[in-house]
Amino acid sequence: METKRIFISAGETSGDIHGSNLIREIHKKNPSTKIHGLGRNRMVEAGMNCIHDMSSRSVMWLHTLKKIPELWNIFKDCTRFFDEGKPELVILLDYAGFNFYLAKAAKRRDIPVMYYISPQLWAHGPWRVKKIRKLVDRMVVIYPFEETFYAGEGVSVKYVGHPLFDELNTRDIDEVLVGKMKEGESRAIVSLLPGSRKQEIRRMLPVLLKTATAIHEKIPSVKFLLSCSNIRNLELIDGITKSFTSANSNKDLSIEIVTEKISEVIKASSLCITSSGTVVLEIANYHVPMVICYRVSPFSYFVARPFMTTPYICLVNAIAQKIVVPEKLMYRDDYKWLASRATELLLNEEKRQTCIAELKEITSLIGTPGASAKAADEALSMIK
Amino acid sequence: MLIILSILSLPLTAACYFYSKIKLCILFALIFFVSNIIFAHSLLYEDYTLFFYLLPVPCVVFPVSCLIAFALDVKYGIFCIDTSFSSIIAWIFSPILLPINLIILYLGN
Repeated sequence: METKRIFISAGETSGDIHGSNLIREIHKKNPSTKIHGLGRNRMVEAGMNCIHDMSSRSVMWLHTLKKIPELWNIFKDCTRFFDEGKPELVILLDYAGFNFYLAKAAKRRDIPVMYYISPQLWAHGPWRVKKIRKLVDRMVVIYPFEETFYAGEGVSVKYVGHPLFDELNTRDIDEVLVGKMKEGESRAIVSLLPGSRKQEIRRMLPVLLKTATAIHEKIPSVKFLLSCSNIRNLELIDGITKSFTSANSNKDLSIEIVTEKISEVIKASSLCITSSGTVVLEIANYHVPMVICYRVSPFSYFVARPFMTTPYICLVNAIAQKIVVPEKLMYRDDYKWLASRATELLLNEEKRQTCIAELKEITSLIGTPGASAKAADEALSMIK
Repeated sequence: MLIILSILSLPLTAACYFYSKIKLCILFALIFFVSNIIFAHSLLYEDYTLFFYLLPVPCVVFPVSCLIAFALDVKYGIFCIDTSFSSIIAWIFSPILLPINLIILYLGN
């Protein structure tokens, strides 16, 4: 079998996970393929020759400015690899700010570019599709509505499904722990999921804790779980929770922090209150009703509002193109809204069952595993 | 009249921006920049000419240049970066012009 050379670039943790699955699938289909690129430990473990480790290079907004010299050096090394290593395909995973530069550099050298996991242009900044049209040969997308969006803009596109479901299908769930959390299913369990980035946790957790207090006042029997998705965030989460509970007048309220067991927490829950993100698909996968919020500063809300082209902040609602689960983009701690929607989903059985039925419908639509394999097929088909 | 125009045009620009009324937003932004530059001229030109010439650089030239670059990017997709951060720059730097004028006016009185 002929040896192929592929360059892959992923900057974020999620890109690393999906990139590693893609590398494994490419190697399954064509074991002699040499893969080089940018990524993190998972992609290296999957068999990538790492040009640069991208851990700690996931930055947003003005923090990007500090990283420019570092990113410039990485970019130069990548272009050197394009010239000397002559890859037959460049695969870019999300991380649009940096990956657009690589796409441009690859195009200049006539290397085909595949973009796997699109930046969310349909949600904000749809004008960037012009750049995609110029720089990318094939978009490989993970949501059905993205295929419609790109096809309408004249971009070559292929929908493969969401790679999260590949992982969820192989993930081992600790059922004993789920059983312990449920305590014989005598009480409703509400889990709070404040996100995985420190910045996000600082913004989201206080409003989630206030919501928990408001729910507890209405339904005192509710048990609360607080998911800490990464051990590195435990100190921060613990600190915010302790200072909140010590200042809180409701002394009966207890919140149990569960670390790095997000699937178990979701599976044990009667309801999840979460920040918007890929986690909502995982919650939907377990058919657990949820309430979504995303807390931004009033200034960010003001600046970003004209650019928001989708009426939905939550992926589940965006896929369904209607409100399946309550969602709100907040610029202040509107915990009363969250608590009222949460209690409604806990107490109103009809609404709860409707929500569960709609979540089942959505996951039947997008929850089929095999996305990484299909993306690997697309990648190999692009190599002449 | 100039002071009223200088003050009122800012919230009107902000409101039009927030509700995506782009043409009106540009109109009120122009009124804001022009009236505030005239305002600054009347306050500074005679005694602090250099400061008058320096003031519009961060408060007008820089944000407006960013917005022009952003508009070109939206129209033609020319840059590799996401240029929507230009609106953050514009909203951080442009409004500074008004409080500076008002502080100078207050100190002058």
